[in-house]
Amino acid sequence: MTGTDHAGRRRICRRALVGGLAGAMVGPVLAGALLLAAAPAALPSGAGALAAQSWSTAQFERQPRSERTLRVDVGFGAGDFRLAAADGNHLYRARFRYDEEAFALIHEYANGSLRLGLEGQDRSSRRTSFRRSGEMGELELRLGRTIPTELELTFGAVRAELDLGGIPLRSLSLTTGASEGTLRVSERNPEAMSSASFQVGAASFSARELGRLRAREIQVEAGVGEVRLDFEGLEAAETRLKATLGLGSLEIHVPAGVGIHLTRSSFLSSLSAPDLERRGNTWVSADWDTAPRRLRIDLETALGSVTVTRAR
Amino acid sequence: MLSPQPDRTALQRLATALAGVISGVLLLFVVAPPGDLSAQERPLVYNEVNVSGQAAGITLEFEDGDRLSVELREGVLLVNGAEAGRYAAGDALDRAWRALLGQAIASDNGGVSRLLASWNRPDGLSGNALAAAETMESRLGSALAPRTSAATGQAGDPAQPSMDPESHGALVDLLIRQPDRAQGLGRLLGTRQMDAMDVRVGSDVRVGADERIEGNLLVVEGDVRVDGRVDGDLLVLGGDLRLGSDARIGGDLRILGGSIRGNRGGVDGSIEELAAVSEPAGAMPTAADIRAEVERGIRDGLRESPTRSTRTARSSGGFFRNLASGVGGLLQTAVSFALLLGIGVGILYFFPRHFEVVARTAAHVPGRSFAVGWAGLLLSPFVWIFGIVFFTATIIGIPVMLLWLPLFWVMLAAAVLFGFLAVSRNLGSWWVNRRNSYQPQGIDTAQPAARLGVGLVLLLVAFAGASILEIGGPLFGIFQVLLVVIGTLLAVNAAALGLGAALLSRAGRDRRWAGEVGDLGLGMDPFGPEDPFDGPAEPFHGPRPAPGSDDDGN
Repeated sequence: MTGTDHAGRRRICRRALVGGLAGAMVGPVLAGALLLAAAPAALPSGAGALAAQSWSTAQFERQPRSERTLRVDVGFGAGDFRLAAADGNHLYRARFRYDEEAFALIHEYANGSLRLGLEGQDRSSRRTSFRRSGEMGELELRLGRTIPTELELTFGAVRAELDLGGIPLRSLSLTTGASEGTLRVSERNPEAMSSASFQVGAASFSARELGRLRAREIQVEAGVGEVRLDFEGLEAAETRLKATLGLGSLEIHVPAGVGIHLTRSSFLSSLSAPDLERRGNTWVSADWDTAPRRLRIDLETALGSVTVTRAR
Repeated sequence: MLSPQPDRTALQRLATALAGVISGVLLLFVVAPPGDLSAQERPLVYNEVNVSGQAAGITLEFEDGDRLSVELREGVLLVNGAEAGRYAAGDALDRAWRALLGQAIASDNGGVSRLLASWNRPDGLSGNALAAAETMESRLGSALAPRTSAATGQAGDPAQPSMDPESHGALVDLLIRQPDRAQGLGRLLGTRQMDAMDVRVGSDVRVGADERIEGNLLVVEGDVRVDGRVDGDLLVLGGDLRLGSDARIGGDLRILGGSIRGNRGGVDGSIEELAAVSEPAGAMPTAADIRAEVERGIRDGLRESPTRSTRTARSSGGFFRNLASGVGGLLQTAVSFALLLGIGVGILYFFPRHFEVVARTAAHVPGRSFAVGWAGLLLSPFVWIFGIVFFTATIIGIPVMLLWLPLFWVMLAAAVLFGFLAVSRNLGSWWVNRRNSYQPQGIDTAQPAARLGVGLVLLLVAFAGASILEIGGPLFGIFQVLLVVIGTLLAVNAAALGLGAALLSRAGRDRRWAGEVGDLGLGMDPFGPEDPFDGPAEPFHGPRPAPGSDDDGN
């Protein structure tokens, strides 16, 4: 190896380390902020705290009127969260179940902008163990199928099940902290979007059928968790995946017939891509030049492991 | 404008009106039985259901902007937030209402309308609970009933006098509570008979562009908007009327206690705006009066606001506010200065040699110190996280990690402060050694503490200047912002430079980068000829300075 090669390699390693760790930072920081907001409620003050819970149920339903777009901002600190398309002619429908002694419900709607969430409000409680997820609140959100929607989700310690199928999404941003989330796109997105971003902290996150999202670019920043991305349903001629990985693992599943081009900047990380051929610092599938649909993957990893598989 | 009617005539007309009401109600009971609301629902645009241990309620919002909230909360029935009845928590009404809302939560939007419209109070209620249940039924039924199909005649529908029982009750209630309204009603009606009219009481009415009322319409205590057609007379008592561009009134338009806006050209008959008779002393203002008063207040306020705000900006109150803010800023800067100087003097007293080495390192290798300092600042979060991960990975390391969490930031803050003060000292020395520079009188500037003070003044003077400009008001806003930006940049970069020097010199223990006096490229000795540094007390870790340097006790 020449001196120039060595210097270049060191430069790449430094960049990957900084980039990867920066990605690793985002999720925990946001998770921390949300957990700080939810923690007082999640830490009941005594043995009788559970008995003192006061469960409330609330439902909000709105019909579309003159909205041209809907902007949805969900901030959910702790609990169970479910999202799917609405069945009827709704703009949205949100159902909460929560302990009103510990959490304050957030529901604000004005001019096509919706804000939902649960915030902890018992700041005097600091002891005993965390509550189980189901004891901290639930939010079931259904979004309409007619109004183009910009969706922003921020989770702390949340168990999330998201089915974005049928929701006309124009943009998507998902930030999770110490969460456990599954996402699928069971139906084709009626709207095309320029980019979707996922920032995953210390979380386990699985996204299936991402191809149906119809996003030209998907950005993933993963911290110390496990991330699985499945691109089933891909239909665009070229889709770009930009992934930055800190200390976790990333699995990418690509459907058959989709050409793959992968570039990597890494530091102490491993890559397993049995279906790809290495060409210098890039990995490509054999059909990259001829494939009608292509997935271009840019990886920046530090101390993580990446696996890329393609269906046969 | 009509002249006031004699009392006798008004009373006669009131009697006629009440008789008309009663006959109208009787007729309505024959034509349309009350409670039959499920045949057609009024479209909902929003509903909100809340069920908790203390309360169970629903809020409905309709297409025309009307809202209704019904809530049972701790023994009280609340309708639109106001108490409308009583019940006992956990009684049959409470249980039935909660069951209904439970079903509403489980259904979609159309289902909510149907559920609410078809709700019947539970059997066996009595007393307060029965009255509350009747109120709930009535209010829900009234709100969910289609507004226009009962009040207006759609194409092909026969004209029907329609006064629902609730309107009847509300009108009688209004006339009993406010006898002056009876007089107003009499004047408004003139010779017209109420039993030949659609009567709406206590709510706003809208006649849509494609709607038509075949007959007369009387609205009491409610605003009216007409975009469609009213074939007969339109009478409005205690409300405002807005006529759309295509509105048509086939008969006369009479209004009392409100205003008319919009297109009057569509009124075929006469238009009469009746003056309200002065109210007797002690009479309570009506909702319309209050609303009109509030609207007037807002309009007046809007008219006055531009001149008022202009005056306020230049008023003496604004100046004193700026003065207080500016003086507060100056005090804040002074306190910061005193605090930093105090800490610096303490460091000079207890760690003079370490302080000196850090200061000299910053002066001798400023570029390297600067780069190392910024790198340290930017990488510190990563180092912190890496430390957490590292310590957590080993069982033994977990207690260390608990110390690491806060201690890392404390140490970093201490290093930044130490370095910042050392750079301040250098800056002070540079200023004192400049030819023709201002020298504070009565202060021995050869003393390191004095030079530290001068340096701190130089670093904080921009903030003080910004506070002084703040007293001058918004005129100097841009300069104030500029000074704050300059001050912040100076302070942050000084902190970074100092941190770098502290890191390079290992908090003043390693003098390899401290260099020699006179070798700093500044054309002068930044520490002055009487620099008190008197040589190392600890072994060097780097190359020993050349003989004759300041480190050798020169």
